[in-house]
Amino acid sequence: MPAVGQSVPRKDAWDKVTGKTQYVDDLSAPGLLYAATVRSPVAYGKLHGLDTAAAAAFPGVVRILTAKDIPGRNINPLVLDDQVFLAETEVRYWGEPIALVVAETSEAAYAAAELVKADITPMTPVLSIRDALKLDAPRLYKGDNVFSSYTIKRGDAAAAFAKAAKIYEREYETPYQEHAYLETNGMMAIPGAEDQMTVYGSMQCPFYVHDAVSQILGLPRNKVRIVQTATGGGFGGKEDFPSVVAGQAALAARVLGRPVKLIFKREEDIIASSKRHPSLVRMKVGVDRDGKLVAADITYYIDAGAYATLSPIVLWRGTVHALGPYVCDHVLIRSYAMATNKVPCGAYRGFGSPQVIFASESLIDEIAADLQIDPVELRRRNGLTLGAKTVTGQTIDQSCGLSETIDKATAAAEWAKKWKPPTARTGKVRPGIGISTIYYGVGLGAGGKHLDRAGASMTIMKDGTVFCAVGNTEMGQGARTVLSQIAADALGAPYEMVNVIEADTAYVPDSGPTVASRTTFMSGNALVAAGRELKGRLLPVIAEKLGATSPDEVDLVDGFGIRKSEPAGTKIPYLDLVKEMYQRRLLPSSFGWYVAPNTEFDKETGQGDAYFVYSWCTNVAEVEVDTETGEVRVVRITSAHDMGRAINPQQVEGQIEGGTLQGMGYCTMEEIRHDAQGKLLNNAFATYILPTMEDVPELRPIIVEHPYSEGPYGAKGFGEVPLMGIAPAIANAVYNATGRRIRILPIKPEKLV
Amino acid sequence: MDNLARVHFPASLPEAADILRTRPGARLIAGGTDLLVKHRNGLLPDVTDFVDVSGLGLHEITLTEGQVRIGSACTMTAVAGHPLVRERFPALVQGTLQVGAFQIRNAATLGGNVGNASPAGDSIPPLLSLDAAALLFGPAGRRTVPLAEFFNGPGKTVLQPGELIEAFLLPDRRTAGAFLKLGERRAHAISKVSLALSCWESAHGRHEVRIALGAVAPTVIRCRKAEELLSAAPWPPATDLVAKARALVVETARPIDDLRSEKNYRRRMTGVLFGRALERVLV
Ligand SMILES: Cc1cc2nc3c(=O)[nH]c(=O)nc-3n(C[C@H](O)[C@H](O)[C@H](O)COP(=O)(O)OP(=O)(O)OC[C@H]3O[C@@H](n4cnc5c(N)ncnc54)[C@H](O)[C@@H]3O)c2cc1C
Repeated sequence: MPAVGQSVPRKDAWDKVTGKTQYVDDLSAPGLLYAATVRSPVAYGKLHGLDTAAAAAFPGVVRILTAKDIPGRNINPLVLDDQVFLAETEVRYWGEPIALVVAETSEAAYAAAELVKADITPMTPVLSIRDALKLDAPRLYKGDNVFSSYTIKRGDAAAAFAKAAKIYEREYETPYQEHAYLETNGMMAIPGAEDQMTVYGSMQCPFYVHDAVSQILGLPRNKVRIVQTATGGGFGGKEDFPSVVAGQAALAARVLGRPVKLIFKREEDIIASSKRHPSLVRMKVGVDRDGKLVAADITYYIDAGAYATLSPIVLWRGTVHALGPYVCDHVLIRSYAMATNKVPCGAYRGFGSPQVIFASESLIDEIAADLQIDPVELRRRNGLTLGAKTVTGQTIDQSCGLSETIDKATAAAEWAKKWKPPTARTGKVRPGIGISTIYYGVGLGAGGKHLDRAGASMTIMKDGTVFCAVGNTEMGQGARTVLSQIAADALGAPYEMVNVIEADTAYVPDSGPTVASRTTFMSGNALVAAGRELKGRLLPVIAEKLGATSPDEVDLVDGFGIRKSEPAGTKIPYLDLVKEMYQRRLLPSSFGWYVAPNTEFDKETGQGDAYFVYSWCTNVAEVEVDTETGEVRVVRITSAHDMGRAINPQQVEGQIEGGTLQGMGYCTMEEIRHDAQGKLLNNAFATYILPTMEDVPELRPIIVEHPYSEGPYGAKGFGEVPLMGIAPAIANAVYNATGRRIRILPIKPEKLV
Repeated sequence: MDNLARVHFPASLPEAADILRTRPGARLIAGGTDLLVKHRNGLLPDVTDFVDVSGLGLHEITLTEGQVRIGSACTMTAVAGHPLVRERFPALVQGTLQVGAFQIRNAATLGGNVGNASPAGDSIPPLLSLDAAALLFGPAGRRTVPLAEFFNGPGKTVLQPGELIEAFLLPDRRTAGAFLKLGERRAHAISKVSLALSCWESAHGRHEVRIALGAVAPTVIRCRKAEELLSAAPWPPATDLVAKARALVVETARPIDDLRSEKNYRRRMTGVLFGRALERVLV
């Protein structure tokens, strides 16, 4: 039986549930030192210097490091190259790192860090998108407070509005979201002979970390090695930020010539790590008499925080997804990433799209309500189908399961039976049902195409087991398992004998980041290439053994060499072939390299093939709203997803369940608060409220498969999609129950009564 | 940073009281579910010693001399599951079962919840609604304080140096009651607002009623005017009387805005919770 399509158990499951897995904080090294971070006590100010006398005298303290100790460049290399590892002459957000205290124990490092006094002249901070937009707002960087912006221009929106039967204008706002991965950020840096530096830690993107460590230390790339340790969750939060942590740990290890660990406490992880961008979305949509979208004008602002970090790319995804999976020929979308004096925002599952999806999917619902059309029907009338064009003018030419996801999700949720307008709802506790339909551009797309390639190495060991290394990471999403399944089938070896290990920059060249739901697709395709190459070396052996005239007549499938014309005939066991391979001294290793299909966009108009393929999804949320207390109970969420091919259906369902819960938290409870000076107030799980097991509704995942011709075994990517459309589905259900439209997330009871 | 130096395991109440009296930096520790969080967050700078209560024999729930006596070291799980409690005090069962989640309830004690003196402590409104008293043990011996007079403010109690809560004493009677809370999620939620209502037959056609509110004032508070109104009138109360009582409950609340919720919402919800609690005891 092929491994692809089977719900094989996860490779890492047993060790994780029995506590055997070693995370970075479980590791040690001889002579290990511990670092703690000194953080800015103000949101914005001039930094004149530090008084470190008391801290330096604290028992156990070895050294206090500042930006002056950095041998290389004090910039975390990313898009605009603006974030410093340690503040130099100014601080730009509350909690920004300004020094590192290194000590013999973690306790001493933390205690001494509190004794460092920074000499800072505070300045007036900019703390929101609206503040940043004000004409008299402080200019945080020289120009306006805009880090980056995009425009998508298609057709003639102004003219189309003039002809629209109805026009809807609404404003929506969304809050921060904290990733709340189980394992906080942490790194251990170990200096070696000949200026080598090896950094172990929790991360999504070893090659970003590689860039960062080389840069802060001023070391050539071949002196730096990054090893990903078992990573307890990322969700985007370990895309760019671990580079900062790794750079700091490596700095201390390099200066002191001893191993250094830098492990974050939860409270500082929430203060210091990236988050989902808060947003402000202004939507204007015109429709004709039948509810067809004829014109759209959307302005999308995100609160990027103090440094640009990933914001330009986050913004690109949001811009492309701003109208949702609908046909509309006249569109103007403008988007802006605003600089403020708060912690830099970055990647979080969905990457700038959940914000705009909340806005557009809420507005579609508002239009349906106003036109008295069933919201499902309105979506069917406008949804993208094969041959239709997206807002960037891209033709959907294959793998479009949107309407099937609508059919299956609404059927399973019994939409037709349950939906009725809010005016027909009565009683203290009212049921409601809501829908969202979304699409998702898989991979880095035109905004990040220069990074969109991946490598994989594969070696058949003497005993037949297969060792594979890839450049993308396992962070709890099941990548190692799914990639092992793909590798096994590509080679034709039994799945049990194949293993893919955690990423290590010594094994595979830069394969881009582990983000954008790209790992199954990109590393999967690289493994397919590697597996086929290796199999190609065994086919002549099989042909010889089976007396076939050409290798084309035989194949290696599921652990047996066979004649294609007689799959049930004589079979040569895989292990016999391995023996032959070694006896004949054939090269038992191969290397696969995959470059993503082309994408492009025009800078002026945003037109072009934004992403190489799209995944599709429909969510139906059912709620009960207590009209006296405003409490919303999410009862059931049914989600149908087209991810091309489910390599491992159980993993797919797991992704749907987890993403749905994060989406539910985003919609109903999660938010970060700051005081008027920009201090982050709720940096603990007692005050940053996430759903718990008791909040979990009934979850019904549905798999829809419209294979993608370029995908490994037809797979696209979809890891982010389960979160993306949950908030509007719930918000629409709340409207359906109560007639109350909440346009500012989260939907807290206080807003409903 | 904390200066915690040692943990003591006294085997008797006098021994515990003695440690508490002679070491000003000593603090009792029961389940540790409040204390260890504070300790980890560096919020106990003056605490030098922990005094563990587990060896003091405070785990019993008994019925003696017209009182149900609940040892202060009983966990929420133990209290909620005990027949003496289940048969008499539904508000307390519901209150203890709404603390944290079950892992927390297996460790958290009644003495710790009261000793912590948070206005949002979920066992406190039920205890007040049941006319509970705290039996205190200290260097000067034992004394009994009605729980309604036990709290002086958030984290502040009438406990004297060296004194600890030995047990809670609840009048032995069958009560009807309810505890309702609103939190930010369904488990591990500190109350935004909570209400306990207990009542029992005082004479034919009359019920003695107690109402206590959590998280809407510096301490848990009783709604005495509403209690008096309902206790004096025929039972079950007439609709207009319920409305009056509800208004009195709402007036009693003195809530604030904070991270968890808003003043106005909290105030209005006291009325909603009162209405619901009364509905529950009337069915
Ligand atoms: C995740 C989590 C969720 C929680 N959820 C809730 C909730 O929903 N509702 C709620 O009310 N609380 C909640 N709490 C708080 C806590 O669990 C309760 O207050 C609990 O009852 C405290 O009991 P303890 O035995 O753990 O007390 P400890 O932490 O051991 O002590 C608390 C305080 O009481 C004092 N103390 C302990 N025993 C005595 C005694 N015999 N005499 C005098 N003083 C004493 C201690 O000195 C200390 O000051 C939660 C806590 C956590 C960590």
